[in-house]
Amino acid sequence: MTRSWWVWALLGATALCAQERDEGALQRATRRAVARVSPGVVEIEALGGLEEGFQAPTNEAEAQKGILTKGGFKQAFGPSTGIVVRADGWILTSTFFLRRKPRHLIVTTHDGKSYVATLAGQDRARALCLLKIRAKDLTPVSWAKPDALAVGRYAIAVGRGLGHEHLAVSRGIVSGLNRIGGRALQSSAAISPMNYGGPLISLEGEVLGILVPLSLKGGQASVDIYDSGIGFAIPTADAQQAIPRLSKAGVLEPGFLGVVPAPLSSDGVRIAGVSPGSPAAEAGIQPGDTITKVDERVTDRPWQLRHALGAHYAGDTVRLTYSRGTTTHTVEVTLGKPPAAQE
Amino acid sequence: MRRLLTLALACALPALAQEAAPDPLEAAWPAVVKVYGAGGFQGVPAYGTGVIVDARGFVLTSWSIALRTPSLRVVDSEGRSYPAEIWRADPGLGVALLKLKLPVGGLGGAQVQLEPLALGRSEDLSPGDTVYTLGNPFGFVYGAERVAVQRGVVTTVGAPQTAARVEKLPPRLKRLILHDAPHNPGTQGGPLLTLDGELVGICGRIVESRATNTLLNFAVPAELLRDFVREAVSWRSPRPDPPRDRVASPGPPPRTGLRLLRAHLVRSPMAYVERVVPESPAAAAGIEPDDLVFRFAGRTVRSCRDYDDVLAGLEPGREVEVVVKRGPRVLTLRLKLEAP
Amino acid sequence: MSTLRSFPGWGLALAAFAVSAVAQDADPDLAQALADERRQVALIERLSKSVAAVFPGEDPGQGGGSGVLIDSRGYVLTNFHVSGVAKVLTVGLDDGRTYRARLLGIDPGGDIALLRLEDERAFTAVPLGNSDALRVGERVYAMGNPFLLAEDYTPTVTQGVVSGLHRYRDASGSSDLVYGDSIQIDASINPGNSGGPLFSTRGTLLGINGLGGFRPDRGRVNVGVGFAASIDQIKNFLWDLRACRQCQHGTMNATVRDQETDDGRTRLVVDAIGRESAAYRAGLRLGDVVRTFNGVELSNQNHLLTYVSRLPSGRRVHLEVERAREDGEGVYQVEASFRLEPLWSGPRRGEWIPDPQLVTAETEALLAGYRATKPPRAWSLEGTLTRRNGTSVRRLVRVDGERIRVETGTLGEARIEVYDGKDGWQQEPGQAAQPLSPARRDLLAGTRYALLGAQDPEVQKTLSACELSGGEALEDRLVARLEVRDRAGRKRLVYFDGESLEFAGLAFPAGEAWVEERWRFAGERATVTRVEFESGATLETLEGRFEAGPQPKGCFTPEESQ
Repeated sequence: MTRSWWVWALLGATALCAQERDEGALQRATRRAVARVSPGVVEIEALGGLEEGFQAPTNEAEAQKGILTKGGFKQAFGPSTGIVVRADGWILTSTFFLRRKPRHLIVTTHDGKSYVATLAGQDRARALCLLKIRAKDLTPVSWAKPDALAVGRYAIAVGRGLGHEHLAVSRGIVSGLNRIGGRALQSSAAISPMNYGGPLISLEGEVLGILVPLSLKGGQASVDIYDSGIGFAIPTADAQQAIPRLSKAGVLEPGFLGVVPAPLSSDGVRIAGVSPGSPAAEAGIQPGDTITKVDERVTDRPWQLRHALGAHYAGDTVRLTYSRGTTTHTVEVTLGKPPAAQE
Repeated sequence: MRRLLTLALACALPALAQEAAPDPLEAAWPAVVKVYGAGGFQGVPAYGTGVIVDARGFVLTSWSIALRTPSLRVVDSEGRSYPAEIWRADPGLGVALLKLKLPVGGLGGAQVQLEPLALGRSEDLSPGDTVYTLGNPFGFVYGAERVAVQRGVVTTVGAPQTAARVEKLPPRLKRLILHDAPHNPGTQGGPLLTLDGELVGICGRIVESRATNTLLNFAVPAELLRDFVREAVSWRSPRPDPPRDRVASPGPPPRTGLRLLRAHLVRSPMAYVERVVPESPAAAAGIEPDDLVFRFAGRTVRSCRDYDDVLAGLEPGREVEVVVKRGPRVLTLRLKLEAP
Repeated sequence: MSTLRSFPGWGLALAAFAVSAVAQDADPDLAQALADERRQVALIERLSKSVAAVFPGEDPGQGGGSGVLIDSRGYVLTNFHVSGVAKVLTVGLDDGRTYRARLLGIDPGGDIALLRLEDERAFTAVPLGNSDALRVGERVYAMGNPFLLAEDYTPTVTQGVVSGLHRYRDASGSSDLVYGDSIQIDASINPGNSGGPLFSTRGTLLGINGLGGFRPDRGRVNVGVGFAASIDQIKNFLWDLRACRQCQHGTMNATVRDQETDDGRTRLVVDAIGRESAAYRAGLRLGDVVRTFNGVELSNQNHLLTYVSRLPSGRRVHLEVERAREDGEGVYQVEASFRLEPLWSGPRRGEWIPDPQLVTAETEALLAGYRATKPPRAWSLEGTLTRRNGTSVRRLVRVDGERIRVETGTLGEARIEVYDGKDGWQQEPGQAAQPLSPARRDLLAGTRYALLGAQDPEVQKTLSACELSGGEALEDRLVARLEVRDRAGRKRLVYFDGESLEFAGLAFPAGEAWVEERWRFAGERATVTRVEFESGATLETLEGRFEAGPQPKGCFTPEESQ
């Protein structure tokens, strides 16, 4: 056994070299992944517009500085990013710039050509929107398969918010899945508002998700937590599913049921309260009922109920299975719109 | 047992056949120093980082008001402290070259051996390339303690649009390296290194883009500093005052014949064309009233003020691209600037 | 399918190798990067099972942080500023479920707390790593629950590198928190990550994340500078935490100041020292230049602070010091060994009382393993005794139940001492037996009783007789310490190696001072080192052959004098 010490020493040394070699391969693979997705990444400029509720600059100096403030957080403006999802001019991006109700949207593709964009549809649940430009023969992005998502995979954020001729790259890992009510994947890549609407890609150059301004407080984020190593993206499958619905125009809202779950439920979600007039109330759900399934998804705990509902939009119909006393019931409920616009 | 050994050996051999990658930080440690100025008022820390670029005691660092003090001090990687002076300063590039006042008789009888790091080149950098910074964030590295290592990737290289509206960005810096490695007070002046250990940039101060209200982690590309260093090390004495930029008093901007709708409302500050002067360069370019100008000479124009800024930096006689929105279409037109 | 099975296994392996080789050639960098990524994903998946979301109180979601399972019996490490002094906590694991946990011990100065989950099942724990072996630039992973984002308690993972080692970050503002020996990282950590693990690429625990640099204008979010209390510091406190103590970090009650020498180096000069302090009693004086601390050569005062503050109070330290001669002709070397005194932090004296039930449970858990190995009640140890003055002599020790016999000297010409639990006698060769001197009686009683006490079921039944009280460092081993009382109520200490469940040593009063005996077994060989309890200075070492089994009849009776 003593004579084999040098073999173990050899293996140890190669393990150390292996980590250093990994960094070189990682760097070269990153370059190629970025190059692969580059033709499908566009710059989006939103010009003009100022939404009500935004505090307009009160003097020339503020106006010159261009800082719009609301609620103490600095709102950012400037270009953001989008991705080509179909060669005939369909661009998926985030709703980041929409809050200002811009007058004009200009999309500039990787080759420097600019187009006027019209808004096709927006998804307020996922902070996505679909734009249409009059172009053909664009290069769409490649989507990663849903099972390609795993915590620990490298996630490379690619943006064009620094000007269309620049690709802005930052890299982190997929930090978590099913965040923000089960809707988003979380990544540690350093992102700023210019990345919103842009892709998080894998080492293979495929889109793992699209970065959106979902906030910890629900609703839309401003620049409060950027560079904290926390960013959210709508995963590939959900983003792709949203596209056909968005292209039919209109606004998709998150689905609202109207129940208040008892926090410590663990064997089915006991309902502590039902909002009057809500879809749950109209379906006959009462406090004391225990919801055990939403469609086929088992809901033992409140977070599971939130995640199951979070996948749906207003207008979707879900089948709830609940128990009241000793009897089990099922009921079809059409989800409504959330009662008040959240910030 | 022998089979296990041969198997293990077989696994190890291919790995041995490749060369072991160098440790990118190894050569850099002895060259990175901690710089202590004075003052330290809002937004300007009194501490920072520097890189020894010449064995005679020249240290490259980020320019800061805090350097202008007779008590300027540099502490090397062994914990040795030296008084220092500004040898050459260029706030326009955002850098300063310091000279350590090395004791004449050496230290403790032996000559001080400094190990400089050579300036590399950033032209081969691509977005996504791994970079390391070495620095003293928040100033808590003390004495012979090693400075902090932080890692990120290159975000972009060049002259990003948003740089145009960044306050406190060194004004003559036309090309920057942006990266996502953490940047905090104290890391300015430290080296930006690649996986191969090449010094591709010197980290700059923390600056904020007014366009996006986000911070930019930038570094000054090393090749822009070659001449700066080479010239200065040959001087007999220091020239610590920043150069007086030959600022020609800004004359009138070139003529375009474009009249924008200058609304006094601050609500929709876009660059709409109100009218075009007949037989002007704008008319020749084909610009029409109600056009929305949003790109001029390659720079995005979001407001009349942006247009004014861009125009002020251009010379007559130059032909520029103007991108306008006309209804549902986007047109790219060429305009030749005339003398005012 | 049957045709596939008929292929020899090596053929398939060869084919697979060939295919993968071709695939690699297509883009070897991507293949290697994906392989690295797969390892990373698998590592994280495995580690996720051990990462906890920690909420003080019975209700999750009322503010909290993170933690990590370090033992399959449900021990969870977290930050003290996450648990506070909450007796009951709620812990969420990545199976989406919550568990009740009790707070065992706290280390307010080091910002660490130890919990125990009340569930009986076996949990997935992570092995403790070695933070002293870390290199700057090494890849690390931080896992936890920043901003309490995980509704399903699956941990958030970030990756970064080690930015710096042995960082001393002292108490800032209102808190007592001192990160004496911390690892600086650039992996993003945020409020909510506190208490969570820092992992190496090998899946070992390197530290507990707890402190971040925050820029005031960005709110409390990560800026790429974070700190984790190092595991090699935490290891020094683990037994005290299990004993449900409020740990205190050590202080020398002496401070040093950096002084620059002519050749630009730094010397550490003692500039303040308490007259009543253990350091002063051990010989340290104002003006002394401290060169090494527990064998580590010191480069500046921060360095010393790092190494002192990573130790608990009561831990022995050894300083090598340079002192100027009175006549001014050069310097001479002095050594000072003493035990650190407490640097009080956390709840005020008397506010934190270890829960007796929890302490009993922890003592039981420790002893259960030891009892299972059934140490012998009768044994002998014969070998060479080397004394402090360098002389050596043969020694034979025999123990049988209550009785102990020590024979010193060559066979036939040895001095005999015997103690039977009540009386003792000693006999020089060829002379009559005399009563045992009190000092010698204490030594024999100590050796025998503490060893016996820990095994004795009667002793163990009474809590006051046997209790886990913390940990101790015996040379290179960190061991658990039990307090045992003999029938007269006098205190003895027994040490166990908690991993191997081997008996590691004991300490007991011998005359005016206390003596510590360190026991080491290696097969048939045993080494017993006796040291001064306070300073750790060696008194004598016995190395010999250990044998279990009944002792010869009559060996405990004095020989008839000739």
